[in-house]
Formats: sequence, C-alpha cells, structure tokens
Amino acid sequence: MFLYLSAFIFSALDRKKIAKTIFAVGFLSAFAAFICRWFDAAHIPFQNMFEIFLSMGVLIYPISIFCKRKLAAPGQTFDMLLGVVLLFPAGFIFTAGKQMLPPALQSPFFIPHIAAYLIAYVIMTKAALTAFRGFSTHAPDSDELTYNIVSLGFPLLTLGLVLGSWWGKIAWGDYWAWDPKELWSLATWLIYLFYFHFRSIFGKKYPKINNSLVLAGLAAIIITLLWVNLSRLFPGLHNYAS
Amino acid sequence: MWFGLWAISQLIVLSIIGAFFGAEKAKMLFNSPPLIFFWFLLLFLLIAGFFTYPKLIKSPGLLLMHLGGIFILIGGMAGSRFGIELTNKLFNQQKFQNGFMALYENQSQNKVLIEDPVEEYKQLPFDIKLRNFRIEYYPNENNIKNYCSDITIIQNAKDLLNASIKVNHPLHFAGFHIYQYSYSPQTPPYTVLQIAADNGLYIVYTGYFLFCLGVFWHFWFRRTGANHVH
Repeated sequence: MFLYLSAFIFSALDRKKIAKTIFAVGFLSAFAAFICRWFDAAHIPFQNMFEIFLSMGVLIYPISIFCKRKLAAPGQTFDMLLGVVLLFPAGFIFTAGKQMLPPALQSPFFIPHIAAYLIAYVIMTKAALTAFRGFSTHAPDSDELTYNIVSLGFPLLTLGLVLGSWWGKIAWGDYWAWDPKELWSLATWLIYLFYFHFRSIFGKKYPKINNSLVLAGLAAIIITLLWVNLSRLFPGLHNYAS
Repeated sequence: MWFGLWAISQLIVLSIIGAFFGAEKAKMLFNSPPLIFFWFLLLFLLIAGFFTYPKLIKSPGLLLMHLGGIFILIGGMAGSRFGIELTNKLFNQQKFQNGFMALYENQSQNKVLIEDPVEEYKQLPFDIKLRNFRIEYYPNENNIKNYCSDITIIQNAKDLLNASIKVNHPLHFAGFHIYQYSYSPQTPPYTVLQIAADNGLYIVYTGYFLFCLGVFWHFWFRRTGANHVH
C-alpha cells in the first residue's frame, strides 16, 4: 500500500518512470501477500472483507496496464491512488482473521463467481474514474473511453451474476432468492444495462448523463460490496463475510 | 426502446426497494399481481423489440442477449407458483414449488411440508428413507466441513437408488432437487431436507447460456482487433 502511495506521489510529481517502477513493485508485494494468504488460509483468499480487498488491490495493476495498452486509457496516476484506496481497508479497517470454508462455500463455483465479480468491480471503478475525468477536465474522448472500459467489464459482471445464480440453485435450492445482496447486485447490473440502452438511443449527445450513469454504477457496486457491513439489520443469505 | 428504458429503470427502483424489504417480503413484492403484469409487459417488449428493431436480429450478439432475456423470463414464470399450478393442471401432475421434510434415521416417508402460501402437507411420488446422518469435520479441527444425509429413494416398495446428499451436492430425481437443508443435534438426530421442483429451470439455464454467449461476443470478440473503436 505504501508502495502504491509513493508511486502515486511520484507520478503526481511527474516523475513517471520512478512511479511506474514503484507501482510494479507494489503489485509484486501485494501479489506475494495474496499467495502467502492463500497458503496460510488453505483456500483462495476470497472469503472475508480483508481477503476481498487484498485481492482487488492485486487486480488493479494488471487491469491498469491492460486498459492502457489495449484501450489507450490514460489515468495511471489515479490507478496508483486507487491501489491505495483498495488496500487501505485490508490494512486498517477489516480484521485479518482467517476461517475454514463453511459447507455452503465449498464449491467449484466459489472461485469463478467471486473472481468474475472482483475483476468486473475493479474495471468498473476504473471506468468511473474515466467518467469522472469527463466532468472535471475538458476531455472530449472521455465518453468513448468510458464506454470501452464499461464494455470490457460488463460481460464479467454478467458472468458473475449468472454463476452466482447457478450456484444458488445448487447450494440454496433456488436460482434467485430475492436476497438483499442479490437485489443490489441486480440493480448494479441493471444500471449498466440502462447505460447501454440510453447510449444506444442518444449516442454521445448527452455525455454527462452517460458518465453520471457509470458513476451511479460504481455507487451501486460499493453498496453491494459493503451491504453486509452497512446493514446488520437486514439479514440475508450472503452474510459469509461478516 | 423508450419502453425498454422505462422498464429497466422501473426494475432498478424495484430491486433497490426490494433490497430494503429483506428476502421474504421482496419475494412477495416481485410475485404480486402488479409485478406479474410487469413481467408480462417486459416479455412483450422483448418480443416486440425484434419486430421494431431489425438491428436486434442482424447483430448476433444483440440477438442472443435479447433471446436469453426472453428465455429467462419464460423460465422464471414457468417455475413460479402460478406457473407450477398451471402445468400441474395441464399435465395432471402433483408438483409444488418448494417444501421441507424432516427425517429420523431409518424413517421413510413422502410427506413434504409446504410453507408458502399456506402451511400444508403435499406428497411426493416416491418415498425417501434416511439411512444415516453424519457431520464431516476438517481433519484435526472442530470446524464443520459438511452435513451429509445418506438416503434411499423408494418407489413402489422397491429401493430405487442410494445417494448421499450434502450441502452443495443436491440430488436430482423425478423432476425435483433434494437438498441438505438443516439438522437437529438432539438424540436421536434428524435431518431436514429441502425439496424443490425443477419447473422452468432448464429454460432459465438456456437463457443464461444464450445471454452469456451474446454478451461476450458483443462486447469482447465482435470487432476485430482489441480496440473497441467504432
């Protein structure tokens, strides 16, 4: 985390080369922590909030590089800061206690369901940063870039939802249980679905509305991810992380 | 398309409201008469879309996604309580959406407790016998690894098959899925199995498959080259 932070500071100070190197070293150390945790907990670190945020902190680097090389998306400086934001909760908010997997989580669906979601979430966060750039600075390509990044993440978001539903049928007896977390994840998915339909009607006529929808998507993701912690008042099936 | 936009926005609002209700009330909301009307309207919009927008048929990705949506809706309807009541009448079946059965070891029965919409017992076309219930632990630890019911399916007084039902390993038999649901640690112990009809399930799965195929094709592989530039 401190490596990501210093990468961000160097990058913000326009020392791009040093920043890039530190960002890479930061990724390697986060990845090493991920692997250690995997051995230590005896399962892939996807179970509690500590493990989820650690995994997302690992994912930011490859996604940042991929978006830059393949989609020509700028904003590496902010990706470094995003790395800090993602690792901060793992370091200072959530406790690192490890548990064995309860019976319901022992399934071949455990890894793909959560991996698809985490990759999609990090990509959508990156998309929201690009959309935000469209508001703050004069960036005429922001709308197009945001669309491309959302297009990259949406299939994975869909895959996560479908795998979760399929798994639900096998573990809980129904492919859809109207559980609060399910409904928030559905709302998230629908917001991006709305974005695509809206954009296919109006194109780039209202870039601010397009970009606002992507920001709304991120807000929904944050609520979905933290729902269990935000509301202990609403018990649901997904409460494995608490 | 305007209608599509309206329908999606309604669903967003409803899902968020539903999330505040908790699962049970949300389920009631989404199965209430106004929502049933909404689901049919959505289905109609999806089908009408093919006639209004030729693009939906010409582009394979869009076609697969919207077809997938239609399958998921039809499958969901077929698996709902009303859908099951309708197919029961049409095909002279005795199926039910969801119910529970408690069994002591060496007990066998076919009665299933239905909780929704009213508490009542229904009968399965076969008997389930619990041979043995056990809890598996992680080696050298007190953490529970799994709950396991060894059962035998009995039909016409004949033992048809033996199976072990665990969490994440249900048994599929005669149009029902049978799940390990709960247990009681008292002596003698009993297990609680959940029994759910598979009506519409494979239609929904087909829809999922079509949608996923379409979404990846449309957004990832459609254009040549990795750059998604128009």
